[in-house]
Amino acid sequence: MSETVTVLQLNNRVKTLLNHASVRDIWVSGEISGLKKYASGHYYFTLKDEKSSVAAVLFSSYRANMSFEPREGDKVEAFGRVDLYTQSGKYQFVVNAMRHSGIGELYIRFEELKNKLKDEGLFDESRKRKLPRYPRRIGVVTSQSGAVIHDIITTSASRFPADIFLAPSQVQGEGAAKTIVAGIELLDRFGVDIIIVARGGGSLEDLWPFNEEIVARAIAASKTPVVSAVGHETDFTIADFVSDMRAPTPTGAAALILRDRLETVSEVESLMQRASRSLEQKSVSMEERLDNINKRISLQAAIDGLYDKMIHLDEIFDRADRAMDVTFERAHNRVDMAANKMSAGRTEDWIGNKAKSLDDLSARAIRALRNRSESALARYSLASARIMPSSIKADMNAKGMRVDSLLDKVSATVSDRMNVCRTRMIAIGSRPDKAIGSITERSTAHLETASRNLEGLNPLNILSRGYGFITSAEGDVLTSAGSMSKGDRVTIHMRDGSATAEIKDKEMKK
Amino acid sequence: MNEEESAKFAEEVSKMSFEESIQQLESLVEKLEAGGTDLDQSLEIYEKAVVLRNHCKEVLDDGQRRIKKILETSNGITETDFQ
Repeated sequence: MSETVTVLQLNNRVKTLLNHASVRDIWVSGEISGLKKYASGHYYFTLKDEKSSVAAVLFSSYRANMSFEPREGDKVEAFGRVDLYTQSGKYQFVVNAMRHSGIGELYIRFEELKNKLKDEGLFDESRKRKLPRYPRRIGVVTSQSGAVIHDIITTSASRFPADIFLAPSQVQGEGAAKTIVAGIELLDRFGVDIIIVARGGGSLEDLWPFNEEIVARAIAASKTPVVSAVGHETDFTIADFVSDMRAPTPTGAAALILRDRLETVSEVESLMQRASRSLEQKSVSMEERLDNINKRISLQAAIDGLYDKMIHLDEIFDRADRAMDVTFERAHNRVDMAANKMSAGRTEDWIGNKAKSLDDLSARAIRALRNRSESALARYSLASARIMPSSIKADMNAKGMRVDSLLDKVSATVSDRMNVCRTRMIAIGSRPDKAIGSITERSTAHLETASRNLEGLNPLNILSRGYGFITSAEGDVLTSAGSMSKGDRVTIHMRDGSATAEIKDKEMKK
Repeated sequence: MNEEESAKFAEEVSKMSFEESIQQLESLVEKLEAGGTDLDQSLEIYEKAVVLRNHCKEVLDDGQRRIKKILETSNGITETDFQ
């Protein structure tokens, strides 16, 4: 007997039957048709192929997992299960995920191209060019209508100032790759420091132009370094592998390429501070050296040194004078003593000899004094030479100091002092002559007096006044009556002759 | 440096890129720090450093950056303002 059920019961039974492994968790390929999006965020459409069609629904919660917006006519592969809508008894395909059809093929092509270019060495680290640290001109290849170019402009505003040149291009769809290649080539020819190839996030298909071989080759051929900034941080494209640097996002690219402006300002300033510090240290050490030099060549020190030398010179002259005086004094004394001792007959000769030896002595004294003066003068010159301006000047020049005026003063003073000294030297040099002259004069006068005295003492002179003197038979001068005896024969000497006599008697004084 | 040399150096610097300027500034500072230069040389290096620093600052203070769209046309490459 046949069972009778309600419509609801029937639909519920069919619904249970449809929950079958053969129509659950499967991929269905077809084209989207009659797409309707409701305010709830759910999508209703028909999946169809040439021969058949089926109703399909994509709930908003599943849409969030998808990387692309379903569009009318899209050829897709939808993943899901069959379900029955019990109110109408119609069944539909409930989509949990969706991808453009042929996606598997895209993956294969991606891997193939990646391996090919890698084998060619296009991804080698050695090919990567260094980005300029401070680019002034940035080229950007991207869409002129998207958010990407504005993100780059905004981000770069606070960074190192660089001009931005946009080469507009399509970034998705048929023919996009060609416009990207044209943009890279245009900017490379135009002349920029860095080219950014950029695009916002999207599905693998959306990003596909950046996986095309012509784009990879254009990046490799660019003379300008290229930075890729395609999609999100998790998206990798062939362009990323071949470019000189990969930025995680377009905004990241601007931050990566352009250094922070304030950081750069403080970098420059800190270099300048280092320069100032160095210069300060340099001038402090220079000042110290200058002080040292000043001390060594100071005017006062030079003058003090000269005074020392002159005092020393005066001392030498004083000693020379004293020595001369003593010598003359001694000579004089000896003349006196000798003169006193001299017997009358040899006095003239003696005086002659002494006068000659006095001359010799004077000449020697003068020579000696001259020698001493000359050596003193030589020593003085030597001492002066040590502080001569020329040597100091050479030294100063080497040190690059400007002390010419100081040196001129020193030089003038030194030369003044030299002149004063020379004058004194000449005066002193003539002193010995004078001294010896006066000593000689004194000696001569003294000798004359002595001669006169001696003349007075000459017995022959006395005889002329009527005196005579008596010598014994032996010729001895007799000065005492005691030495005579009665009967002695004596000789009486008179001024003009002598007579022999005999002592007849004698009487001694009482 | 005398006036003529200063002017010549300033002109050289004005043609330098920022990178060249800061590199030269760096090497001058290193030279100063290494010592072995006399006061005159040090002063000259410092004068040059000041010129380089001023050039760097001019570049950094330049708020007038250009944002252009460039296109290839039959008349060659054209630049237009982009906003």
